Amino acid sequence: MIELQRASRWYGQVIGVNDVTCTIGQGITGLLGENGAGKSTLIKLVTGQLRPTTGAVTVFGETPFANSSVFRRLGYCPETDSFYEHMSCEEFLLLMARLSGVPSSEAAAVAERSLRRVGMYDSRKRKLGACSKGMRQRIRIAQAVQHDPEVLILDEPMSGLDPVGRKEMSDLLLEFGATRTVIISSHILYEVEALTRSIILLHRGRLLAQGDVRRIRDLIDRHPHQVVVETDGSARLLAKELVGLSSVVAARIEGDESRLIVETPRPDEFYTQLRDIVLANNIPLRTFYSQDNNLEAVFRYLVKG
Amino acid sequence: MNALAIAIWFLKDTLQPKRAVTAVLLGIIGPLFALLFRAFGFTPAETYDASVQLGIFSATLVLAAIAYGGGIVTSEVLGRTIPLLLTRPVPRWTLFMGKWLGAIVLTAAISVVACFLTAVLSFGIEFDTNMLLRDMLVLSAGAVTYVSLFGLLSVLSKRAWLIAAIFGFFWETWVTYVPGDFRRLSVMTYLKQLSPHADVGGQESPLEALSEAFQTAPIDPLTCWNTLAVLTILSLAVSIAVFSTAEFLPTEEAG
Repeated sequence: MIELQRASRWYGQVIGVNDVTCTIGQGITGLLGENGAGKSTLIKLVTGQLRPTTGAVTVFGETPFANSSVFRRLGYCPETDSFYEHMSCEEFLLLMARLSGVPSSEAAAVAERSLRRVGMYDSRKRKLGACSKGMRQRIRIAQAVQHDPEVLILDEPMSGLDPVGRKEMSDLLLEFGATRTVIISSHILYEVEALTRSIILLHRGRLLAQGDVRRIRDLIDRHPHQVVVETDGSARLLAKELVGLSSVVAARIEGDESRLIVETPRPDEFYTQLRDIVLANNIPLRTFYSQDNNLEAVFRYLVKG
Repeated sequence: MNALAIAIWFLKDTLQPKRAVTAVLLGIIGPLFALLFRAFGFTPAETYDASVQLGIFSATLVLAAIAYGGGIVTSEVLGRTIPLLLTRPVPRWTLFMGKWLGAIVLTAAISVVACFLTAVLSFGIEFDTNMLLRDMLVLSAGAVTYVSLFGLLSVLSKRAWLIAAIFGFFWETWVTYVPGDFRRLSVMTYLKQLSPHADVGGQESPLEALSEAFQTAPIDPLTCWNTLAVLTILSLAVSIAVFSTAEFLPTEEAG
């Protein structure tokens, strides 16, 4: 559906996207990377706002730049928090619906449905300039989904939403992603993790990794996993027992002797041994968890590894 | 959404109560001049000639064209709303044509209404209808030409408003005083040839007297109309060609 073939984009001397080749199909794909990694440039290439300097970008098999037939099937939620501030939420969505190809006879109904979908119907008459950041974010998403696009591209869609709003948006995006292609760019990794396991990782314009987060995790298995063990002040005793194990390569105590961070290349073996040691020494264990079971760790390992 | 629908949206949007203030302010310049000149004892003809020249041709028309024509693309880029427009299934030329058409209608309407009010304030109800219609026609032609020129600037530069203001108030004024045929490089020259008005007080400044001494014969009306038409068509064609193929990013994202 979306294909980049050795696509690069330069801004004068600065490179935005560097020789990226990837294919994005149905479902939700998280686009991850630090600031300046090239996420927004990649999105602008896919949404036809920019042309690649070299290589090719296609959406539905067509070049997206200034291509109306692509835009008819594409919804885009831009990163910039900019609107026609003097318009009401309803007026803005009506205009966007009309520009998206919705006939004038249906535009009002489409806008009303969108307002209800993002929980903004009661505030429909409010001027955009008078809306809170969360409300503006809902409208940004509403304008992107209201014409029912096959491909939905969202740049930082959760930014500014309160927890309830995030949950509602997540549900909406999960519903959309079940039958369509959705690309979500975000620097808040747990948000993406809650929506999808399919990720694209960019670093300094290059594609660092693409695929299921678990498969990417396999790629980095040569790096030790970090496991956090929290005790009731017995971290030093536990560390003494653990450092002799073959499955442990390092251990350090943090805070007030209650938190131990262990590095292990073989987590399964380590968990078994940890259980045995805790029971044998009667160490009061509060909790333990792997720091690596999230995208943050994957990203950190791939970038620094 | 076709160009006409976009033009109607542009007009409705620009004429919303709070935003219409700009249009009203632009439209009252000529009538204010008329009130002023009448208060100073000018004859109705002198009042009308001076008000139309100074207040409408040189101010209202140019300012409105700068505001609305110069903002066709620039306002979207500086307002960072351009991605909302350029990722829609509306051909770029349609977007441009719609806003161009809206800007022309608005600029022409403000100028024409201002001209009518100026005539009423100068002559009462006994004004020369032919002269008024001629002025209105020429103002409309000026609106088409200026909006097209400034629309081109808005496609080419994020500083379109500034460049248009320099062009409208510096170049258009001073080029007419340059000896020889330089005045032919000014749109205002053609508009004034098509809609001549006597200078206020009948006395020439030394600069005007000097420039007139070096100037060639008057430009015939057909040449004036043709020049305005060519300028409009060329500006529009280049604008559409550039807008259809160039990349436009919100200000802080470019580069």
